[in-house]
Amino acid sequence: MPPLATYSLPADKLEEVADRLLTCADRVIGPVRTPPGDLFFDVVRSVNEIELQYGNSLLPPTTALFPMAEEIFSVVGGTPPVIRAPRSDASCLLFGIRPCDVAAIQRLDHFFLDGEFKDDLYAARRSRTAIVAVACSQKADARCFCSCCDTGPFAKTGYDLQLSLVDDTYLVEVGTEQGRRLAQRLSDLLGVADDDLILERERRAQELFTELEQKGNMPSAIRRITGEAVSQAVWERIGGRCMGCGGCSFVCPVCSCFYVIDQTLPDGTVQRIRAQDSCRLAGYTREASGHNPRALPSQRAARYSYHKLSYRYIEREGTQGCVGCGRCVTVCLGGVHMPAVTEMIRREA
Amino acid sequence: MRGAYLPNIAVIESIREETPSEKTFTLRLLDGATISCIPGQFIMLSVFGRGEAPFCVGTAGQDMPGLDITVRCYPEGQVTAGLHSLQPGAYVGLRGPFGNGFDVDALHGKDILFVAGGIGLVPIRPLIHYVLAERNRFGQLTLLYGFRQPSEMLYRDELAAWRARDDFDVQLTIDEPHPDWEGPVGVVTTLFPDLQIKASNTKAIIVGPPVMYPFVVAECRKKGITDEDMIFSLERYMKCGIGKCGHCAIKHKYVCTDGPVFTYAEMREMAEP
Repeated sequence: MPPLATYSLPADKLEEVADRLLTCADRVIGPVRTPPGDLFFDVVRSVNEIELQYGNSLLPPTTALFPMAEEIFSVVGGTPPVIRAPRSDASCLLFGIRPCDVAAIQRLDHFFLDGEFKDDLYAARRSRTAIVAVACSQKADARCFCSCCDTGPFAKTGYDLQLSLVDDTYLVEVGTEQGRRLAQRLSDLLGVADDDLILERERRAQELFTELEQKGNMPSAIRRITGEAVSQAVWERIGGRCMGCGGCSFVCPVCSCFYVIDQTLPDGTVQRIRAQDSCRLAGYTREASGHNPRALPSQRAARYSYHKLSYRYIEREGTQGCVGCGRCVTVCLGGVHMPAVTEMIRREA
Repeated sequence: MRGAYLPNIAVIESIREETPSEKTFTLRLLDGATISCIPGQFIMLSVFGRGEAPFCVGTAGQDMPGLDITVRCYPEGQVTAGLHSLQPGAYVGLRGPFGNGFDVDALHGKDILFVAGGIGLVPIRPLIHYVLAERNRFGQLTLLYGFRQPSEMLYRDELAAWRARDDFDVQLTIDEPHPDWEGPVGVVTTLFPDLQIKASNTKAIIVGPPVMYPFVVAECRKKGITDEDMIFSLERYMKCGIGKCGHCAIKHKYVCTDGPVFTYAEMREMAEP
């Protein structure tokens, strides 16, 4: 989908842009480095906290839309009990997120918002969230592989505004009406994006794309998982190396599973909480009777890969369940993250 | 409209002890609210402070003031044990109904073979109610119901009434001999060899513990029932009921929204490694 409008922005005006965007939402969430050196997507209070040259954050910015844990409702009183839904009208602007995470949000949008049932909690947050993406002008991280997932190095859709650095100029793309309103706030800083700028961004993206990893494992794994051609031995090898920690899911911007628990507060109020869950955890499918249909690590490994890569799910969700951000590579203790798994599957062929 | 995750409040009107570990709870919604269910659907039941879990509807119909659910108590189960500790008058939360339910229209004109193992009779019961209420729309009716021991027999009064009918062949069996039992002994599949059915016009409705399924499928196939005509209601751990939490997914199907009723032909596609 072509952008609604394109502009140019001198690179040295970026701070000014960020500063103005800070006033465009109740909360601006951007890449911020903590004193020990870790990068998080966190609330930005002033422009100099933002760091745009970052290796991918361990936790994805999608937690702004689908938090690690959140309240579904609380129950007060007893005769009869009264249900109180949480209320939050705060608007949010996600600043400086990468194209891979933009692609993840698009997949979450489809999963949570389209179809027979809508996820009210996600919908409430999403409707008040604007996305200002910054395209990758170089490989962001040693571990990322968007080239295998067709999710970068710049986003083709899914952003409200996207900034792509070309030498000393940003190409500013407007993706939505919301993006157009944001661009109006910046109009005195924006110039005309001539064809040369657009073509040069395209050319560099192509150049970067070919530089990035192109092993072809992903399509091969998709084909073999969909065709149920992966041998039991491979799942057992992956399962044998999986620690069952669920880390891959908790850092994955696409993973959307959650569990639900009730907690009783000292005043007797019952809070129903949902928190992110992982199909790699042994208790994920365990029933009250003790019966567990996926009792083996190999079964859970197969499930994880099937959900992310089977064409039956690509058909259902519109895109594959991996955007190539590389976070699972950072976190997996057993070395059975997505690139390793797709390679193990292909090598078997 | 209430959000999909917000329950309605219901009150436990009465509790009937079915067996030492199973009780039937009659729930009534507050403020004149009603619920409409198809046999085979399920609700999400909240015991506030303990959690929420899926239970199949025990009664089906349009605009009902409430419904029945029959629940087995598991000491490890937050919700089942919590529910079993409640008394009439206690409040619970109720969302739903969810799921596809049995395709009752597809059963019209057919002979129906119900096969229930243990607590598998629970989701079948509202379908039996429906079929008996419209008895002349169906052909031969058979229920094969197996359970471990006599004390575990559910719905005693209803079973007695069904057995008294001459248009419903009800056969019961227990797993192992017991002094209080004079009927057949053996798992539910031991009732198959003597069964007289016209396979080409038969739909089999099969619900029980998963361990029972391969044996029942083999017996149904021996009788000539096709995989498309074997209909199951599956059960999985669930947290939402609306296809979001991910727990009940089997292959590319969600038990909560694509099921819980599946034909065996569909289930063959859902076999996981």
